[in-house]
Amino acid sequence: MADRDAADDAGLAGFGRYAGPATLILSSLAEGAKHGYALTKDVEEFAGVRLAPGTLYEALARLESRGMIEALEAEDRRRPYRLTAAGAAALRVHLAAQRRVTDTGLRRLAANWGSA
Amino acid sequence: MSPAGDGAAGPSGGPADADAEAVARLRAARLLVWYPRPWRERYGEEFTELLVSDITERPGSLGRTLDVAKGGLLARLAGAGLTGAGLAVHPGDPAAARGRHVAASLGTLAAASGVFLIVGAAQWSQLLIGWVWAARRQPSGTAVPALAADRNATLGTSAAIIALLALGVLAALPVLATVAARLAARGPVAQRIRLAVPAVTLIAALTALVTGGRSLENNWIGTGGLHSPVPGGLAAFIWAVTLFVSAYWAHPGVLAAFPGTELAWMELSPLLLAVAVASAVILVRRTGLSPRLARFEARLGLACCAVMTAFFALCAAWLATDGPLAGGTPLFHAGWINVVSTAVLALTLTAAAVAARTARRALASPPGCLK
Repeated sequence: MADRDAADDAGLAGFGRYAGPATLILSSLAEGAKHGYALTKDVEEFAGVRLAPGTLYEALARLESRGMIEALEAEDRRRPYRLTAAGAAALRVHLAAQRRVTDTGLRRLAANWGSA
Repeated sequence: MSPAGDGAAGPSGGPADADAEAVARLRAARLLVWYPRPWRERYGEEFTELLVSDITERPGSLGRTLDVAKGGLLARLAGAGLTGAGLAVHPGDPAAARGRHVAASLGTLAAASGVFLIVGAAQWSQLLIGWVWAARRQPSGTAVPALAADRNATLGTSAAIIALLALGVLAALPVLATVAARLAARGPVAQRIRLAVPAVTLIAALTALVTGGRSLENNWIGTGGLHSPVPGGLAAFIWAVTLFVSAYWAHPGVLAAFPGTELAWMELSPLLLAVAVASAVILVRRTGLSPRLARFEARLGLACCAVMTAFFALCAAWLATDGPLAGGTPLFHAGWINVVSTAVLALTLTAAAVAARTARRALASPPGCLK
């Protein structure tokens, strides 16, 4: 239990309801730096979720203040953001925890409900 | 998808497209107003570009408007230190962001506690006047007053007011000492002016309040200090300072019969109190307390919230027993002004508790981990 808490602290536990958008943003930035619109389109493409502007920037501000992403020089009034080492570590911990849940759920479904 | 280089939805060149972009920019500018100024300075330009692209793609979207409104209100709450993370105005400096966030929380804590103290003192003053007159009229040996809720509210709020005043003095000392040290130290003149202006304003407002309150305290409608559970001078002074919290504002005819000086004071004192509270908040936000002193202030804030909770509970019990919807006893019957005052107490207590919790959480987290 203590290990799980430590892992959560290193992940995105403090983001509360913004953990979802934060995961999507960090996953998108893992590919490379992007500005707000490019992030929205990329997330829509790989997750099928359209991040609304207010939600996107609330999550960006939180990630930036926690040092998980950093702002680059603005290009034509659009400012790209890139993942930091702290952000990559937090994303890795968070996704590993999610994978444990996913694996467990799929295993139990297969055992008790058969494969689809 | 190429990083950072994706094209955005937008006009392709014709006059109609230019008009569409102008309309989208106008709508984006209106949406941006939901956010506070520091947020707009940091993110405004890039956020506007995103909004323009989004509006061009989806011209009519109630969901976007609601989402932006919610984001703006959350950013305002975060700016007041009531939620969320500090704004990383200087990218790569999370420690400075944490310091500003803690200062904002402590500033809001000071403002909420100050308003609670002012409104609470007015409520307490009314109870005290009921107490001293009840004590004077009732035969010796009988309980004063008859109802336990009235008795508990008067004695309990008396103790709470004194505790809140003591906590206020304790909280002010580190801030004033830090301000004095910063003003005495050799540093940039602009920085010292940023501290000196609110400090001088605060002192001027407090001086005017003390002078005015002392000159009006002889008008106190108590019994000259007899039968009062607290020193009569203190009770009279606090009554004079909070005289403007009154139901008489709804009865201009009665108000017009008040002495001119008292009426003028009822109009001036809330302004002075507002200036004093605002100056104190600006000082707290600008002083930049050390983490150790900030922790001390946050702990005092929690103690303050505990006292305020007790004060609020006593007032609520008084309203339930002797309020406008209850039977009412002579001298202690609470009116709608007390209901409004108690609602203000509830709001300010909530704000103070949230601010104290936010400050403590921000102080407990490492510099780069604001929650």
